[in-house]
Amino acid sequence: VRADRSRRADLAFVALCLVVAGVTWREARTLPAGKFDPLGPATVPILLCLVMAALAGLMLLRLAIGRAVGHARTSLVLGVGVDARDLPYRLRPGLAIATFGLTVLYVLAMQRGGLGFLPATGLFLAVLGALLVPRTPRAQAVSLALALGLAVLLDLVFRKILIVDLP
Amino acid sequence: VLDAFANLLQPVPFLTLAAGLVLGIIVGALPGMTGGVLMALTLPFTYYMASTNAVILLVAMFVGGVSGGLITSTLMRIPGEPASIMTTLDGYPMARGGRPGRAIGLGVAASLVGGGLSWISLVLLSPPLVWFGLRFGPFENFALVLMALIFIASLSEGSFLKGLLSGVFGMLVAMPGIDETSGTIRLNFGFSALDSGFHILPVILGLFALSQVLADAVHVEQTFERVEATVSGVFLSVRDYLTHGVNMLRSAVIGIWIGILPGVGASIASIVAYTTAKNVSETPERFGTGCEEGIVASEAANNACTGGTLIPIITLGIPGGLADAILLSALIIHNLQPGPLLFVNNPQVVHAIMATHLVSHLLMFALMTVGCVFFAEIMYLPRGYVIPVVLVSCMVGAFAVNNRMFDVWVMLAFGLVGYFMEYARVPLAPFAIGLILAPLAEGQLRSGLMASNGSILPLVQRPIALTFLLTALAMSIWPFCRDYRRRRLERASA
Repeated sequence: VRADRSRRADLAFVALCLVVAGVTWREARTLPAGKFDPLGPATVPILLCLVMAALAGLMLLRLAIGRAVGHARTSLVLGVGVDARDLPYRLRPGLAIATFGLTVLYVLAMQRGGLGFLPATGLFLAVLGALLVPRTPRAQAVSLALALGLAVLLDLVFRKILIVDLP
Repeated sequence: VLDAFANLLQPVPFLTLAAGLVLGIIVGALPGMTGGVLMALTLPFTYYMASTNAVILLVAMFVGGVSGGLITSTLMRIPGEPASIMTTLDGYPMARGGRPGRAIGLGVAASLVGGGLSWISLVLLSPPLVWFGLRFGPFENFALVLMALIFIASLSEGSFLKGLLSGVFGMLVAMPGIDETSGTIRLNFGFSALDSGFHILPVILGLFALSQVLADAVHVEQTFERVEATVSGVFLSVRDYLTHGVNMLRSAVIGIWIGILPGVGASIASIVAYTTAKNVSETPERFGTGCEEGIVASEAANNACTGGTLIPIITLGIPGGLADAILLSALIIHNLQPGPLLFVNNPQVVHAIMATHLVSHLLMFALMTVGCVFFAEIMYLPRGYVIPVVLVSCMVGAFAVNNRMFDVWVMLAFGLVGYFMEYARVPLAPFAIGLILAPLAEGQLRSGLMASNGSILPLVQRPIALTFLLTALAMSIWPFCRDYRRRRLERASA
């Protein structure tokens, strides 16, 4: 199962690389030639696209003939791709999706919904906090109080101290 | 350098350093958060600071982050930082055996010695490297960047192919925007928001901070085996230092050397130092059961790595890992040219980096020795309370770059890309380094070609550039030779 999952992830990564290289190459071809320098603005992006496509092709070939492509031994983001069977607790991928979805809604609320930073952040922290903390009345109450307090605090810190021109 | 130390004693720089260090230790101690994430989150707000203070803050966070992982490794059997993974093997059994103070004390002392020795190497090795770097022209700089990228891809991780792809992907992401040589807007795909390209900050925030938050949400139910921290035994005697002196020195040298190599990082330094200490020990069977030598080796090496890793960035402008890449971004944001010219044009920044590195280690020693119980309490902060705050900070950090929502969307998109790449076990460090170094490499190549009337020959005619290219070539071939040799050995043993 793990090998299959790893292989599917590798194939998806190859596909991503090929798409990015293809789309960028198509756009780079429309760029004008250099007036002052021999390379111009298009050469390096085109070269990078070709190298990326070649490397992705090589990886695809290795995958196709069943050769290992290896994987990163150390990780800069902790806890990704861990197998649930190795753990004494439940993994919650649904929560990660909900977290990302709520963040998108939070940004949209400020960009399109006309909601200011303070109310949007208060609402976001309250809803996300309710999802992430245990479902006990005490934890939920603490989370709600923290959400409201933190929204005011973050607004103060970012707007007044760090002088960020927040929405 | 002495002026830099004097400057650090002024209230604002000192408070900046202390705040960076404490935050670094806290985040390093929080399971699921790393010093790199903290640095990425802080980077946008350094816009509003003086360049020297920004550098002081980030270096202090770097040192604090690497050091803070010790607490979680020892008391929870979870490496708060990837660099502390080997500390877990002996720190936790020792803490469970009733000596948590002793385990933390050994780790903190080894961290101080490792950090102190790496500071000496930073001060002594930087000037000759700068002298060497000042002789570079555009072709040498281009070849150096090329070599660094291939070095990072081939040495740091388990898959050379994935490392290279990650690096090229990062370079390609740096391409949209205004072409600095011709002034042409390129690769905006019809979106005016992309006219100035992807800013480094939202990309880095998405790749490392947002993807980490998403990973933390998956593990929100994680529970920890807890050992209470005590200060009993946390202070070491002179005899302890003498007993572990050789181990500290050897592990520090390993850490410094590995730190200088681009892309290898503190986690590998800690593994190599731990393995070496075990191999030369008279009682290797005690390793993994609460052995003092194991804690000392791991912690001396990972903190020594912090000094080693700063050497290539301040002398040649080549980042070796995530923390370096963020530091390099901070220099670029503040219109400082990283590399040997930093020594010539902005020596106060270089000296601030050096002074902060040492003072941070001294302060870390004092804070972690006295305040280990306090830091131990903070690490039990539930993730459910931390994740939303980090997300809001990510959003504001990305927005603050240009005061526009486009950068927030970029951050969100690269958060998904980072999470997916990590899921596919594609190393992220080459991506970040490719992203940062690509404009430099392209600019150097094109100005070199303009100076040579379009001839690429200087790349192979100039000895330093040729040396870098040949090294890059050798490093490209080496992983394949290594794999071939390994397969032959496996076949022979089968």
